[in-house]
Amino acid sequence: MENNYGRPPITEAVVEFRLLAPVDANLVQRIGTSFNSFYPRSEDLQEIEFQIGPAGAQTRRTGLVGFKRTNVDANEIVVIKAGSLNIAQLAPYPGWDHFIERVRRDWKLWRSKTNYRDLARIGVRFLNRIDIPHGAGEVTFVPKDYVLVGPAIPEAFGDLKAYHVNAVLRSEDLRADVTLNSGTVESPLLKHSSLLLDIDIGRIEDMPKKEDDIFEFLEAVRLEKNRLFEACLTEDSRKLFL
Amino acid sequence: MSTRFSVVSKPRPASGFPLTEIPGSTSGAISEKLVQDRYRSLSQSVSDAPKKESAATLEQKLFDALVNAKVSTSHVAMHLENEWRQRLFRQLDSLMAIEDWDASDAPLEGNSFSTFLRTILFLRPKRAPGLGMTSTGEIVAAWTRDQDRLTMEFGNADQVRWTLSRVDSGGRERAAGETYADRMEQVLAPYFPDRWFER
Amino acid sequence: MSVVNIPHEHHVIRYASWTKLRKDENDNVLGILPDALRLREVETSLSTTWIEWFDGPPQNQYLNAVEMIRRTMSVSPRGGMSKANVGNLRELCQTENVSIRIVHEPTDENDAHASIRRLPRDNLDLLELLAAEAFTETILNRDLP
Repeated sequence: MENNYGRPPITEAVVEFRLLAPVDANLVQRIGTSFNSFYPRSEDLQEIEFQIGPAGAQTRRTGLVGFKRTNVDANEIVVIKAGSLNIAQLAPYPGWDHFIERVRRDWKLWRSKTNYRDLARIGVRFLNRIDIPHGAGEVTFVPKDYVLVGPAIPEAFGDLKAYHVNAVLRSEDLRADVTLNSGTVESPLLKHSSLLLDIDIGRIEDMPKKEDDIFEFLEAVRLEKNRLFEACLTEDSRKLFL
Repeated sequence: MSTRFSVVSKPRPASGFPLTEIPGSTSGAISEKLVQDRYRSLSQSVSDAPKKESAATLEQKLFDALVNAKVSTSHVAMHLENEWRQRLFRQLDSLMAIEDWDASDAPLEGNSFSTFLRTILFLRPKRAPGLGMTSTGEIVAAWTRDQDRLTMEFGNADQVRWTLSRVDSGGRERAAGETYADRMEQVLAPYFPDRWFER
Repeated sequence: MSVVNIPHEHHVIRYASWTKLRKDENDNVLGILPDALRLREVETSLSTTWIEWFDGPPQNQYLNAVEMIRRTMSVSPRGGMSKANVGNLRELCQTENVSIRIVHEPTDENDAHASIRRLPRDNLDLLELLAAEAFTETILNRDLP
Protein backbone atom coordinates (compact mmCIF):
# COMPACT_ATOMS: atom_id res chain seq x y z
CA MET A 1 0.00 0.00 0.00
CA GLU A 2 3.09 2.18 0.29
CA ASN A 3 6.18 2.89 -1.70
CA ASN A 4 7.60 -0.58 -1.25
CA TYR A 5 5.18 -1.64 -3.97
CA GLY A 6 6.11 -0.61 -7.48
CA ARG A 7 2.47 -0.22 -8.44
CA PRO A 8 0.49 0.50 -5.27
CA PRO A 9 -3.20 -0.19 -5.86
CA ILE A 10 -4.31 3.01 -4.16
CA THR A 11 -6.85 4.87 -6.24
CA GLU A 12 -7.51 7.52 -3.63
CA ALA A 13 -6.06 8.51 -0.25
CA VAL A 14 -7.90 11.03 1.90
CA VAL A 15 -7.21 12.81 5.16
CA GLU A 16 -10.24 14.58 6.54
CA PHE A 17 -10.48 17.16 9.31
CA ARG A 18 -14.06 17.72 10.36
CA LEU A 19 -14.94 20.75 12.47
CA LEU A 20 -17.04 20.81 15.59
CA ALA A 21 -18.57 24.13 14.49
CA PRO A 22 -18.56 25.26 10.87
CA VAL A 23 -16.94 28.46 9.70
CA ASP A 24 -19.04 31.06 7.93
CA ALA A 25 -19.51 31.11 4.17
CA ASN A 26 -17.40 34.22 3.55
CA LEU A 27 -14.48 32.63 5.30
CA VAL A 28 -14.86 29.48 3.20
CA GLN A 29 -14.52 31.67 0.12
CA ARG A 30 -11.37 33.34 1.47
CA ILE A 31 -9.84 30.03 2.48
CA GLY A 32 -10.55 28.65 -0.96
CA THR A 33 -8.73 31.53 -2.61
CA SER A 34 -5.73 31.16 -0.33
CA PHE A 35 -5.09 27.66 -1.75
CA ASN A 36 -4.82 29.03 -5.27
CA SER A 37 -1.06 28.75 -5.62
CA PHE A 38 -1.08 25.04 -4.73
CA TYR A 39 -4.30 24.12 -6.49
CA PRO A 40 -4.90 26.48 -9.40
CA ARG A 41 -8.13 24.89 -10.55
CA SER A 42 -11.31 25.41 -8.61
CA GLU A 43 -14.81 23.98 -8.85
CA ASP A 44 -17.77 25.10 -6.82
CA LEU A 45 -19.48 22.50 -4.67
CA GLN A 46 -23.22 22.60 -4.23
CA GLU A 47 -25.41 21.05 -1.62
CA ILE A 48 -28.15 18.73 -2.73
CA GLU A 49 -31.42 18.52 -0.90
CA PHE A 50 -33.33 15.26 -1.13
CA GLN A 51 -37.04 15.47 -0.68
CA ILE A 52 -39.01 12.28 -0.39
CA GLY A 53 -42.74 12.70 -0.55
CA PRO A 54 -45.85 11.20 -2.06
CA ALA A 55 -44.66 12.16 -5.53
CA GLY A 56 -41.43 10.27 -5.01
CA ALA A 57 -37.88 11.44 -4.45
CA GLN A 58 -36.81 14.83 -5.72
CA THR A 59 -33.49 16.59 -5.57
CA ARG A 60 -32.81 20.28 -5.45
CA ARG A 61 -29.57 22.21 -5.41
CA THR A 62 -29.65 24.56 -2.47
CA GLY A 63 -26.46 26.54 -2.66
CA LEU A 64 -22.73 26.75 -2.63
CA VAL A 65 -21.14 24.80 0.19
CA GLY A 66 -17.48 24.93 -0.69
CA PHE A 67 -14.74 24.46 -3.21
CA LYS A 68 -12.92 21.55 -4.70
CA ARG A 69 -9.47 22.65 -5.80
CA THR A 70 -7.09 20.57 -7.88
CA ASN A 71 -3.56 20.77 -9.14
CA VAL A 72 -2.82 20.91 -12.86
CA ASP A 73 -2.66 17.12 -13.13
CA ALA A 74 -5.99 16.76 -11.28
CA ASN A 75 -4.56 14.15 -8.90
CA GLU A 76 -3.91 16.36 -5.87
CA ILE A 77 -7.17 17.66 -4.46
CA VAL A 78 -8.35 19.71 -1.55
CA VAL A 79 -12.01 20.15 -0.64
CA ILE A 80 -12.81 23.13 1.54
CA LYS A 81 -16.22 23.33 3.12
CA ALA A 82 -17.66 25.17 6.07
CA GLY A 83 -17.46 22.05 8.18
CA SER A 84 -14.42 20.25 6.90
CA LEU A 85 -11.10 20.15 5.11
CA ASN A 86 -10.36 17.11 2.95
CA ILE A 87 -6.99 16.55 1.36
CA ALA A 88 -6.82 13.79 -1.20
CA GLN A 89 -4.38 12.11 -3.50
CA LEU A 90 -5.49 10.17 -6.54
CA ALA A 91 -3.23 7.64 -8.26
CA PRO A 92 -0.34 7.56 -8.74
CA TYR A 93 0.20 7.55 -4.99
CA PRO A 94 3.56 9.16 -4.25
CA GLY A 95 4.00 7.53 -0.83
CA TRP A 96 2.96 8.54 2.66
CA ASP A 97 5.88 10.90 3.32
CA HIS A 98 5.03 12.98 0.31
CA PHE A 99 1.31 12.86 1.00
CA ILE A 100 1.50 13.75 4.69
CA GLU A 101 3.85 16.64 3.90
CA ARG A 102 1.14 18.10 1.68
CA VAL A 103 -1.49 17.41 4.35
CA ARG A 104 0.63 19.28 6.90
CA ARG A 105 1.17 22.19 4.53
CA ASP A 106 -2.55 22.47 3.76
CA TRP A 107 -3.55 22.00 7.37
CA LYS A 108 -1.25 24.84 8.43
CA LEU A 109 -2.59 27.14 5.76
CA TRP A 110 -6.19 26.25 6.57
CA ARG A 111 -5.62 26.74 10.30
CA SER A 112 -3.92 30.08 9.76
CA LYS A 113 -7.06 31.27 7.99
CA THR A 114 -9.57 29.83 10.42
CA ASN A 115 -7.61 30.43 13.64
CA TYR A 116 -8.03 27.53 15.98
CA ARG A 117 -11.07 25.35 15.59
CA ASP A 118 -11.97 22.26 17.60
CA LEU A 119 -12.18 19.13 15.53
CA ALA A 120 -15.10 16.75 15.58
CA ARG A 121 -13.41 14.01 13.61
CA ILE A 122 -10.10 13.13 12.03
CA GLY A 123 -10.23 10.43 9.40
CA VAL A 124 -7.88 8.68 7.04
CA ARG A 125 -9.26 6.68 4.16
CA PHE A 126 -7.50 4.61 1.54
CA LEU A 127 -9.39 3.21 -1.42
CA ASN A 128 -7.54 0.43 -3.16
CA ARG A 129 -8.48 -1.39 -6.32
CA ILE A 130 -6.84 -4.71 -7.02
CA ASP A 131 -6.80 -5.44 -10.75
CA ILE A 132 -6.59 -9.14 -11.45
CA PRO A 133 -5.66 -10.25 -14.97
CA HIS A 134 -7.63 -13.09 -16.47
CA GLY A 135 -5.53 -16.09 -17.31
CA ALA A 136 -5.66 -17.60 -20.79
CA GLY A 137 -9.27 -18.41 -21.48
CA GLU A 138 -10.34 -17.56 -17.94
CA VAL A 139 -13.00 -15.03 -17.20
CA THR A 140 -13.64 -15.87 -13.58
CA PHE A 141 -11.49 -15.86 -10.47
CA VAL A 142 -11.84 -16.65 -6.81
CA PRO A 143 -11.85 -13.41 -4.80
CA LYS A 144 -10.45 -15.01 -1.68
CA ASP A 145 -7.34 -15.91 -3.66
CA TYR A 146 -6.60 -12.18 -3.57
CA VAL A 147 -8.51 -10.52 -0.72
CA LEU A 148 -9.25 -12.17 2.59
CA VAL A 149 -12.42 -10.20 3.15
CA GLY A 150 -15.60 -11.62 1.70
CA PRO A 151 -19.02 -12.97 2.37
CA ALA A 152 -19.63 -16.33 4.01
CA ILE A 153 -22.22 -17.95 1.76
CA PRO A 154 -23.28 -21.59 1.74
CA GLU A 155 -22.01 -23.51 -1.28
CA ALA A 156 -25.59 -24.29 -2.23
CA PHE A 157 -25.76 -20.83 -3.80
CA GLY A 158 -23.25 -21.67 -6.53
CA ASP A 159 -20.58 -19.42 -8.06
CA LEU A 160 -20.06 -15.97 -6.62
CA LYS A 161 -20.53 -13.33 -9.34
CA ALA A 162 -20.44 -10.17 -7.29
CA TYR A 163 -20.43 -9.19 -3.64
CA HIS A 164 -19.99 -6.38 -1.21
CA VAL A 165 -18.94 -6.51 2.40
CA ASN A 166 -19.22 -3.61 4.81
CA ALA A 167 -17.95 -3.88 8.36
CA VAL A 168 -17.30 -1.42 11.15
CA LEU A 169 -14.74 -2.45 13.70
CA ARG A 170 -13.16 -0.84 16.69
CA SER A 171 -9.52 0.00 17.27
CA GLU A 172 -9.14 0.62 20.98
CA ASP A 173 -5.48 1.55 20.59
CA LEU A 174 -6.41 4.43 18.31
CA ARG A 175 -9.76 5.09 19.95
CA ALA A 176 -11.12 5.05 16.44
CA ASP A 177 -13.61 3.20 14.30
CA VAL A 178 -12.37 1.24 11.33
CA THR A 179 -14.76 0.96 8.42
CA LEU A 180 -13.93 -1.74 5.91
CA ASN A 181 -15.54 -2.08 2.52
CA SER A 182 -14.63 -4.74 0.04
CA GLY A 183 -16.25 -6.13 -3.03
CA THR A 184 -16.23 -6.59 -6.74
CA VAL A 185 -16.05 -3.49 -8.93
CA GLU A 186 -16.04 -2.96 -12.64
CA SER A 187 -12.47 -3.10 -13.88
CA PRO A 188 -11.14 -0.16 -15.88
CA LEU A 189 -8.82 -2.60 -17.66
CA LEU A 190 -9.68 -5.02 -20.41
CA LYS A 191 -9.50 -8.72 -19.54
CA HIS A 192 -9.21 -7.98 -15.83
CA SER A 193 -11.48 -8.28 -12.84
CA SER A 194 -11.17 -5.87 -9.95
CA LEU A 195 -11.75 -5.92 -6.23
CA LEU A 196 -12.18 -2.94 -3.96
CA LEU A 197 -10.52 -2.71 -0.58
CA ASP A 198 -11.54 0.48 1.19
CA ILE A 199 -10.24 1.17 4.69
CA ASP A 200 -11.36 4.20 6.66
CA ILE A 201 -10.07 4.97 10.14
CA GLY A 202 -11.81 7.80 11.94
CA ARG A 203 -11.71 9.19 15.46
CA ILE A 204 -14.44 11.25 17.08
CA GLU A 205 -13.47 11.16 20.76
CA ASP A 206 -10.57 12.56 22.81
CA MET A 207 -9.67 14.68 19.84
CA PRO A 208 -6.08 15.89 19.70
CA LYS A 209 -5.81 19.65 19.69
CA LYS A 210 -2.14 20.46 19.15
CA GLU A 211 -0.68 20.11 15.70
CA ASP A 212 2.01 17.68 16.87
CA ASP A 213 -0.60 15.50 18.52
CA ILE A 214 -2.79 15.54 15.42
CA PHE A 215 0.06 14.43 13.18
CA GLU A 216 1.24 11.90 15.70
CA PHE A 217 -2.25 10.42 15.55
CA LEU A 218 -2.14 10.39 11.75
CA GLU A 219 1.18 8.54 11.86
CA ALA A 220 -0.37 5.97 14.15
CA VAL A 221 -3.32 5.63 11.82
CA ARG A 222 -0.96 5.13 8.92
CA LEU A 223 0.75 2.20 10.65
CA GLU A 224 -2.59 0.67 11.53
CA LYS A 225 -4.08 0.98 8.06
CA ASN A 226 -0.90 -0.57 6.61
CA ARG A 227 -1.19 -3.45 9.05
CA LEU A 228 -4.85 -3.96 8.24
CA PHE A 229 -4.29 -3.65 4.51
CA GLU A 230 -1.58 -6.30 4.58
CA ALA A 231 -3.79 -8.51 6.72
CA CYS A 232 -6.45 -8.42 4.01
CA LEU A 233 -4.14 -9.54 1.20
CA THR A 234 -2.81 -12.80 -0.13
CA GLU A 235 0.59 -13.37 -1.66
CA ASP A 236 -1.04 -13.62 -5.10
CA SER A 237 -2.43 -10.17 -4.56
CA ARG A 238 0.89 -8.67 -3.47
CA LYS A 239 2.56 -10.01 -6.60
CA LEU A 240 0.25 -7.81 -8.65
CA PHE A 241 1.66 -4.64 -7.09
CA LEU A 242 5.36 -5.38 -7.67
CA MET B 1 -39.37 14.57 4.76
CA SER B 2 -36.36 16.65 3.85
CA THR B 3 -32.74 15.74 4.44
CA ARG B 4 -29.60 17.54 3.46
CA PHE B 5 -26.55 15.79 2.13
CA SER B 6 -23.50 17.46 0.78
CA VAL B 7 -23.17 14.70 -1.78
CA VAL B 8 -24.91 13.94 -5.01
CA SER B 9 -27.50 11.24 -5.05
CA LYS B 10 -25.35 8.65 -6.73
CA PRO B 11 -21.73 9.69 -7.19
CA ARG B 12 -19.33 7.56 -9.14
CA PRO B 13 -16.12 7.52 -7.14
CA ALA B 14 -12.70 7.09 -8.63
CA SER B 15 -12.79 3.44 -7.77
CA GLY B 16 -16.13 2.87 -9.41
CA PHE B 17 -17.53 1.86 -6.05
CA PRO B 18 -21.09 3.11 -5.57
CA LEU B 19 -20.62 4.82 -2.22
CA THR B 20 -24.27 5.62 -1.75
CA GLU B 21 -25.23 1.99 -1.76
CA ILE B 22 -24.98 -0.13 1.30
CA PRO B 23 -23.18 -3.29 0.28
CA GLY B 24 -25.41 -6.27 0.11
CA SER B 25 -28.56 -4.25 -0.28
CA THR B 26 -30.49 -3.26 -3.28
CA SER B 27 -30.60 0.50 -3.53
CA GLY B 28 -34.33 0.56 -2.99
CA ALA B 29 -33.97 -1.16 0.34
CA ILE B 30 -31.56 1.36 1.82
CA SER B 31 -33.08 3.53 4.46
CA GLU B 32 -32.32 7.19 4.26
CA LYS B 33 -30.97 7.04 7.80
CA LEU B 34 -28.48 4.37 6.82
CA VAL B 35 -27.27 6.38 3.87
CA GLN B 36 -26.88 9.44 6.03
CA ASP B 37 -25.05 7.54 8.75
CA ARG B 38 -22.79 5.95 6.24
CA TYR B 39 -21.67 9.29 4.89
CA ARG B 40 -21.11 10.69 8.31
CA SER B 41 -18.97 7.77 9.39
CA LEU B 42 -16.50 7.91 6.52
CA SER B 43 -13.92 10.36 5.37
CA GLN B 44 -15.52 11.78 2.27
CA SER B 45 -13.96 10.54 -0.94
CA VAL B 46 -13.24 13.74 -2.81
CA SER B 47 -12.68 12.72 -6.38
CA ASP B 48 -16.37 12.85 -7.11
CA ALA B 49 -17.51 15.55 -4.77
CA PRO B 50 -20.58 17.28 -6.14
CA LYS B 51 -19.93 20.32 -8.21
CA LYS B 52 -21.83 23.17 -9.63
CA GLU B 53 -23.46 22.46 -12.95
CA SER B 54 -21.06 23.46 -15.67
CA ALA B 55 -21.39 26.91 -17.07
CA ALA B 56 -22.03 26.75 -20.76
CA THR B 57 -18.90 28.59 -21.76
CA LEU B 58 -16.52 26.86 -24.10
CA GLU B 59 -13.65 27.45 -21.72
CA GLN B 60 -15.53 25.72 -18.90
CA LYS B 61 -16.47 22.78 -21.12
CA LEU B 62 -12.88 22.31 -22.23
CA PHE B 63 -11.70 22.62 -18.64
CA ASP B 64 -14.20 20.01 -17.47
CA ALA B 65 -13.28 17.65 -20.29
CA LEU B 66 -9.59 18.01 -19.54
CA VAL B 67 -10.02 17.43 -15.81
CA ASN B 68 -12.28 14.45 -16.45
CA ALA B 69 -9.67 12.93 -18.76
CA LYS B 70 -6.96 13.41 -16.15
CA VAL B 71 -9.10 11.94 -13.40
CA SER B 72 -9.91 8.97 -15.68
CA THR B 73 -6.20 8.55 -16.19
CA SER B 74 -5.65 8.58 -12.44
CA HIS B 75 -7.94 5.54 -12.15
CA VAL B 76 -5.36 3.50 -14.03
CA ALA B 77 -2.25 5.52 -13.27
CA MET B 78 -0.68 2.65 -11.34
CA HIS B 79 -0.51 0.76 -14.64
CA LEU B 80 1.05 3.62 -16.60
CA GLU B 81 4.71 4.52 -16.51
CA ASN B 82 5.24 7.99 -15.13
CA GLU B 83 6.83 9.18 -18.35
CA TRP B 84 3.83 7.92 -20.30
CA ARG B 85 1.36 9.64 -18.01
CA GLN B 86 3.25 12.93 -18.05
CA ARG B 87 3.51 12.87 -21.82
CA LEU B 88 -0.19 12.08 -22.11
CA PHE B 89 -1.08 15.03 -19.87
CA ARG B 90 1.13 17.35 -21.91
CA GLN B 91 -0.61 16.15 -25.06
CA LEU B 92 -4.06 16.63 -23.53
CA ASP B 93 -3.20 20.12 -22.30
CA SER B 94 -2.00 20.95 -25.79
CA LEU B 95 -4.94 19.32 -27.54
CA MET B 96 -7.54 21.18 -25.52
CA ALA B 97 -5.88 24.58 -25.46
CA ILE B 98 -8.66 27.09 -25.94
CA GLU B 99 -6.59 29.38 -28.16
CA ASP B 100 -6.42 26.66 -30.83
CA TRP B 101 -9.86 25.18 -30.32
CA ASP B 102 -12.40 25.11 -33.13
CA ALA B 103 -15.60 26.29 -31.44
CA SER B 104 -17.74 24.09 -33.67
CA ASP B 105 -16.09 20.92 -32.32
CA ALA B 106 -17.41 18.97 -29.35
CA PRO B 107 -15.13 18.70 -26.31
CA LEU B 108 -13.50 15.37 -25.55
CA GLU B 109 -16.04 12.64 -24.79
CA GLY B 110 -15.30 10.83 -21.56
CA ASN B 111 -16.40 7.46 -22.92
CA SER B 112 -14.11 7.81 -25.91
CA PHE B 113 -11.20 8.62 -23.63
CA SER B 114 -11.95 5.57 -21.47
CA THR B 115 -11.87 3.39 -24.57
CA PHE B 116 -8.54 4.97 -25.50
CA LEU B 117 -7.06 4.24 -22.07
CA ARG B 118 -8.35 0.69 -22.06
CA THR B 119 -6.97 0.05 -25.52
CA ILE B 120 -3.57 1.54 -24.74
CA LEU B 121 -3.28 -0.45 -21.52
CA PHE B 122 -4.25 -3.58 -23.40
CA LEU B 123 -1.91 -3.14 -26.38
CA ARG B 124 0.85 -1.56 -24.28
CA PRO B 125 2.72 0.12 -27.13
CA LYS B 126 6.20 1.21 -26.12
CA ARG B 127 5.87 4.25 -28.32
CA ALA B 128 3.16 6.76 -27.49
CA PRO B 129 0.83 7.91 -30.24
CA GLY B 130 0.28 11.44 -31.45
CA LEU B 131 -3.17 12.60 -30.38
CA GLY B 132 -5.99 14.30 -32.21
CA MET B 133 -9.74 14.56 -31.99
CA THR B 134 -12.73 14.24 -34.23
CA SER B 135 -15.34 16.97 -34.54
CA THR B 136 -17.66 14.89 -32.38
CA GLY B 137 -15.23 14.68 -29.47
CA GLU B 138 -13.68 11.29 -30.05
CA ILE B 139 -10.00 10.97 -29.35
CA VAL B 140 -7.73 9.84 -32.18
CA ALA B 141 -4.38 8.10 -31.76
CA ALA B 142 -1.91 8.14 -34.62
CA TRP B 143 1.35 6.29 -35.00
CA THR B 144 3.56 7.22 -37.93
CA ARG B 145 6.81 5.59 -38.99
CA ASP B 146 8.18 6.93 -42.26
CA GLN B 147 5.37 6.23 -44.75
CA ASP B 148 3.63 3.71 -42.50
CA ARG B 149 0.59 5.07 -40.71
CA LEU B 150 -1.75 3.62 -38.12
CA THR B 151 -4.76 5.62 -36.96
CA MET B 152 -7.37 4.70 -34.37
CA GLU B 153 -10.55 6.58 -33.50
CA PHE B 154 -12.01 5.63 -30.14
CA GLY B 155 -15.76 5.47 -29.69
CA ASN B 156 -18.04 4.56 -26.81
CA ALA B 157 -18.09 1.20 -25.13
CA ASP B 158 -14.70 -0.03 -26.35
CA GLN B 159 -15.43 0.51 -30.04
CA VAL B 160 -12.41 1.33 -32.17
CA ARG B 161 -12.30 2.40 -35.81
CA TRP B 162 -8.89 1.92 -37.33
CA THR B 163 -7.04 2.42 -40.56
CA LEU B 164 -3.48 1.68 -41.57
CA SER B 165 -1.17 1.80 -44.52
CA ARG B 166 2.27 0.27 -44.72
CA VAL B 167 4.86 -0.26 -47.39
CA ASP B 168 6.86 -3.43 -47.85
CA SER B 169 8.64 -5.09 -50.73
CA GLY B 170 5.31 -5.95 -52.32
CA GLY B 171 4.16 -2.35 -52.37
CA ARG B 172 1.66 -0.38 -50.30
CA GLU B 173 -0.88 -2.25 -48.24
CA ARG B 174 -3.96 -0.60 -46.75
CA ALA B 175 -6.60 -1.80 -44.37
CA ALA B 176 -9.37 -0.37 -42.26
CA GLY B 177 -12.09 -1.64 -39.99
CA GLU B 178 -14.15 -1.29 -36.87
CA THR B 179 -13.84 -3.59 -33.92
CA TYR B 180 -13.71 -3.75 -30.13
CA ALA B 181 -10.66 -2.82 -28.10
CA ASP B 182 -10.03 -6.34 -26.89
CA ARG B 183 -9.82 -7.56 -30.51
CA MET B 184 -7.26 -4.98 -31.62
CA GLU B 185 -4.27 -7.19 -30.92
CA GLN B 186 -5.54 -9.93 -33.25
CA VAL B 187 -6.75 -7.45 -35.84
CA LEU B 188 -3.37 -5.73 -36.10
CA ALA B 189 -1.23 -8.84 -35.84
CA PRO B 190 -1.04 -9.54 -39.62
CA TYR B 191 0.37 -6.03 -40.15
CA PHE B 192 3.28 -6.36 -37.71
CA PRO B 193 2.26 -3.50 -35.41
CA ASP B 194 5.67 -3.38 -33.74
CA ARG B 195 6.52 -1.24 -36.72
CA TRP B 196 4.55 1.48 -34.95
CA PHE B 197 4.62 0.38 -31.34
CA GLU B 198 8.33 -0.22 -30.76
CA ARG B 199 10.50 2.77 -29.93
CA MET C 1 -23.82 30.53 -63.03
CA SER C 2 -22.07 27.64 -64.75
CA VAL C 3 -20.09 25.22 -62.61
CA VAL C 4 -16.35 25.50 -63.12
CA ASN C 5 -14.38 22.31 -62.57
CA ILE C 6 -10.97 23.13 -61.22
CA PRO C 7 -8.20 21.92 -63.53
CA HIS C 8 -6.21 18.82 -62.62
CA GLU C 9 -2.92 20.66 -62.34
CA HIS C 10 -4.27 23.20 -59.88
CA HIS C 11 -4.26 23.06 -56.08
CA VAL C 12 -6.53 23.67 -53.13
CA ILE C 13 -5.87 24.42 -49.45
CA ARG C 14 -7.89 22.87 -46.67
CA TYR C 15 -7.64 24.48 -43.24
CA ALA C 16 -7.35 21.94 -40.41
CA SER C 17 -7.58 22.92 -36.76
CA TRP C 18 -4.91 21.78 -34.28
CA THR C 19 -6.97 18.78 -33.16
CA LYS C 20 -7.25 17.52 -36.75
CA LEU C 21 -3.51 17.50 -37.39
CA ARG C 22 -1.51 14.31 -37.45
CA LYS C 23 1.31 14.57 -34.95
CA ASP C 24 3.95 12.40 -33.40
CA GLU C 25 4.13 11.77 -29.67
CA ASN C 26 5.98 15.06 -29.18
CA ASP C 27 3.37 17.13 -31.01
CA ASN C 28 5.50 17.56 -34.11
CA VAL C 29 3.09 18.04 -36.99
CA LEU C 30 3.26 15.38 -39.72
CA GLY C 31 0.15 16.17 -41.76
CA ILE C 32 -3.59 15.97 -41.30
CA LEU C 33 -5.84 13.31 -39.81
CA PRO C 34 -8.68 11.76 -41.80
CA ASP C 35 -11.18 13.66 -39.66
CA ALA C 36 -9.87 16.92 -41.17
CA LEU C 37 -11.61 15.77 -44.37
CA ARG C 38 -14.74 14.29 -42.84
CA LEU C 39 -17.98 16.09 -43.67
CA ARG C 40 -19.93 17.29 -40.67
CA GLU C 41 -23.62 16.48 -40.38
CA VAL C 42 -24.61 19.85 -41.81
CA GLU C 43 -22.14 19.77 -44.70
CA THR C 44 -22.74 18.37 -48.17
CA SER C 45 -19.33 19.23 -49.57
CA LEU C 46 -15.83 19.86 -48.28
CA SER C 47 -14.68 23.48 -48.23
CA THR C 48 -11.30 24.39 -49.65
CA THR C 49 -9.68 27.45 -51.23
CA TRP C 50 -8.46 27.38 -54.84
CA ILE C 51 -4.87 28.58 -54.95
CA GLU C 52 -4.57 29.31 -58.67
CA TRP C 53 -7.68 31.50 -58.60
CA PHE C 54 -5.30 34.21 -57.42
CA ASP C 55 -2.96 35.99 -59.82
CA GLY C 56 0.79 36.09 -59.70
CA PRO C 57 3.62 33.65 -59.22
CA PRO C 58 2.86 30.41 -57.36
CA GLN C 59 4.19 31.57 -53.99
CA ASN C 60 2.06 34.72 -54.13
CA GLN C 61 -0.97 32.70 -55.15
CA TYR C 62 -0.42 30.39 -52.20
CA LEU C 63 0.02 33.22 -49.71
CA ASN C 64 -3.02 35.04 -51.07
CA ALA C 65 -5.07 31.90 -50.60
CA VAL C 66 -3.80 31.61 -47.02
CA GLU C 67 -4.68 35.24 -46.45
CA MET C 68 -8.17 34.62 -47.80
CA ILE C 69 -8.63 31.72 -45.38
CA ARG C 70 -7.43 33.86 -42.49
CA ARG C 71 -9.91 36.59 -43.43
CA THR C 72 -12.90 34.34 -43.87
CA MET C 73 -12.47 31.65 -41.24
CA SER C 74 -11.68 31.45 -37.58
CA VAL C 75 -8.10 30.21 -37.68
CA SER C 76 -5.59 29.72 -34.88
CA PRO C 77 -1.80 29.93 -34.82
CA ARG C 78 -1.48 26.15 -34.59
CA GLY C 79 -4.07 25.42 -37.24
CA GLY C 80 -2.67 23.85 -40.40
CA MET C 81 -2.89 24.96 -44.03
CA SER C 82 -2.86 21.73 -45.99
CA LYS C 83 -2.34 21.78 -49.74
CA ALA C 84 -3.44 19.16 -52.26
CA ASN C 85 -3.20 18.75 -56.01
CA VAL C 86 -6.65 18.57 -57.56
CA GLY C 87 -5.78 15.87 -60.09
CA ASN C 88 -4.22 13.73 -57.38
CA LEU C 89 -7.36 14.06 -55.26
CA ARG C 90 -9.56 12.93 -58.13
CA GLU C 91 -7.30 10.00 -59.06
CA LEU C 92 -7.00 8.72 -55.52
CA CYS C 93 -10.77 8.78 -55.15
CA GLN C 94 -11.11 7.01 -58.48
CA THR C 95 -8.99 4.13 -57.20
CA GLU C 96 -11.71 3.65 -54.61
CA ASN C 97 -14.46 3.96 -57.22
CA VAL C 98 -15.47 7.33 -55.86
CA SER C 99 -16.06 10.05 -58.41
CA ILE C 100 -15.63 13.38 -56.68
CA ARG C 101 -16.09 16.81 -58.24
CA ILE C 102 -13.89 19.73 -57.29
CA VAL C 103 -15.60 22.92 -58.37
CA HIS C 104 -15.18 26.64 -57.97
CA GLU C 105 -18.01 27.77 -55.73
CA PRO C 106 -17.38 31.34 -54.57
CA THR C 107 -19.08 32.45 -51.37
CA ASP C 108 -19.90 35.95 -50.17
CA GLU C 109 -16.66 36.03 -48.20
CA ASN C 110 -14.33 33.83 -50.24
CA ASP C 111 -14.21 34.36 -54.01
CA ALA C 112 -11.71 31.50 -54.32
CA HIS C 113 -13.82 29.01 -52.42
CA ALA C 114 -13.81 25.52 -53.93
CA SER C 115 -16.02 22.60 -52.95
CA ILE C 116 -15.16 18.94 -53.05
CA ARG C 117 -18.47 17.25 -53.80
CA ARG C 118 -19.55 13.62 -53.57
CA LEU C 119 -16.96 12.83 -50.96
CA PRO C 120 -18.29 9.92 -48.89
CA ARG C 121 -19.15 11.03 -45.41
CA ASP C 122 -17.80 8.11 -43.50
CA ASN C 123 -15.23 6.19 -45.53
CA LEU C 124 -12.33 6.29 -43.08
CA ASP C 125 -10.07 4.33 -45.42
CA LEU C 126 -10.53 6.83 -48.26
CA LEU C 127 -10.21 9.86 -45.98
CA GLU C 128 -6.96 8.46 -44.61
CA LEU C 129 -5.72 7.84 -48.16
CA LEU C 130 -6.43 11.45 -49.09
CA ALA C 131 -4.88 12.74 -45.87
CA ALA C 132 -1.73 10.70 -46.49
CA GLU C 133 -1.27 10.97 -50.22
CA ALA C 134 -3.10 14.07 -51.42
CA PHE C 135 -2.80 16.64 -48.64
CA THR C 136 0.93 16.15 -48.50
CA GLU C 137 2.03 19.66 -47.61
CA THR C 138 0.81 21.02 -44.29
CA ILE C 139 2.21 24.18 -42.75
CA LEU C 140 1.13 25.69 -39.46
CA ASN C 141 -0.60 29.02 -39.77
CA ARG C 142 1.88 30.59 -37.37
CA ASP C 143 4.79 29.53 -39.58
CA LEU C 144 3.42 31.36 -42.61
CA PRO C 145 4.01 35.06 -43.25
